[in-house]
Formats: sequence, structure tokens, C-alpha cells
Amino acid sequence: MRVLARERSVSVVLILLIVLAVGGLVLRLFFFQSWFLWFWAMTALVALELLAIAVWDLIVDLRRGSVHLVTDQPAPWGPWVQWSLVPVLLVVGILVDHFVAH
Amino acid sequence: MTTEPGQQDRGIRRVTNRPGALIALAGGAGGGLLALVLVLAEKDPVSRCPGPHNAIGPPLDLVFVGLCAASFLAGGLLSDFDQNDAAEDAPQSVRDRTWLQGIVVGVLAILFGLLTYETYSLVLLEANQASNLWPITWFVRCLSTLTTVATIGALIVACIMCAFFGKWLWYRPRTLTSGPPRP
Repeated sequence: MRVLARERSVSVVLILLIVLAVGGLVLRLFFFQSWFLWFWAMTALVALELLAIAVWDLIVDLRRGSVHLVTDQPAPWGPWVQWSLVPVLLVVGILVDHFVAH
Repeated sequence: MTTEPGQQDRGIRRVTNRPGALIALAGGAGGGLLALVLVLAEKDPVSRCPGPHNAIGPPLDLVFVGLCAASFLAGGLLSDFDQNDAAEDAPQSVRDRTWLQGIVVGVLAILFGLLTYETYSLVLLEANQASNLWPITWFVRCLSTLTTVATIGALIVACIMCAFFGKWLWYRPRTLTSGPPRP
């Protein structure tokens, strides 16, 4: 909990993941009965979340503020976690799209 | 607006010294040229692939997936070589940072628009197979099955795109090397 209080980026990532999970559930239950379409809708939702964060930080920059959502403090986890995050997500995405969603 | 010859030389040297920039230029030019040739030869995907179109089948689909993953790794790892730590870690001005953030917003807005279009066009296609609004991925699917040359071309372009993703989207924390002291 101390990490969450000290490091804003970590809190933002957790909030984004919760929004993603709830949004994904709503999209699956009420809008997309096909896993394939749901998969693409989720990619758009992720892009929207990232865009919202970037817009927030741009506004903070323009107003010379300090409450950035993406901070430049050292992450509380090891560098190998950050190093492996994108390749792991990429491989999982390819496998799901290629062998499950299609 | 004029540019000094020395400035042009420095600009060219900066590009040729960076493998990532060369890949970007070669990939962009190659992809654009391929698209132009296909259109001029009247072999563009839209005119040759009316209606639903399936992706390339096995075992070639695994070649696409494997080579694209390898290109992603190569694009990321190759860009780690010969990088100028001093230049990259130099302090940025507030104005430069704001411009960079603006570019990030622009790129993410384009990405969001493209993914929304992809999803919307796929939804339309599921409701009506004769829809004229094609998903972006269908153009690649179509191109990859037109002819043998088109298959190879699609594979090359897809690999180059994956190399870009590896270079730009794969975050790898660096251990700073102790280079010569900055003036």
C-alpha cells in the first residue's frame, strides 16, 4: 500500500486494469457475443485508456502543473518485469487471436 | 527556407548511423512502392478480393507468425546497439517535452481511430457480408493470398512493421554505461 501511495504511476496502472476488466465484462455481456469482435473492441478500449492518460499529461504540461499520471520515478519491480512485459503480451495476443479468436 | 549543405550532410549521416531510421525509410518506401505497383497493375486488394476473404492457411500462417515475432525481437534488440546514452539522457526543455507529449497524444488518437474503425467494420461485416467497408486487416489477408510475389511482399512488409513495433513500443530499461564525461 505504501508503494501505491508513493508512486502515482502504479496506482494509475491498477485503476486502468480495473476499468479494462469491468469494461471488458460489459462489452462481452451486452455488446459482443463473438470473442473475435470482443478482442478487437478491447484493443480499441486499451487505446482509449492510453489516449486519456496522454491527454491528461499533456494538459498538465501545458498548464505547468505537476500531477502527471505517468511519472519518471523508478518502478518498484525489477527491470526484467518491464523488459518482458511487451513480448509476453505480444505472444499471448498473437496466440489468442490466431488460435482462439479466429 | 534554405538549408546549408553541411546541415544536409549531418542530417544524412545521422540517419545512416541509425539502423532503426534506415529500416523505417526502407520499409516505408518499399511498402509505398508495393502499394503503387499493385494499384498500377490493377492487382490492388479491393478489386481482386470481393466479399469475405480468409487468412492464409497452414503451414504458411505459422511462418508469418514466427517471422513477425522474430522481427519484433530483432527490431527492439538491434536498436539497443550503438545508442548515444549522452544524447538520449540530456535534459529536455519544457517546450520540447510538451511537443513530445503532443506527438504521443496525436499518435494514440490515430491508433484509437484505426482500432475503432477496425472493430466497427468487422461488426458491419458480420451483419452484412457484402459490406463495402473493409477492415484494415483484410487488406493484408487479401494481399497475402493473391500471388506468390504478393505473399512474399506481404510477409516482408509485415516483418518490417513488427520491427518498428519492437523498436518503438517495447520498453526495455537500460543500464547506463559510463561513457566519457559530458562537457
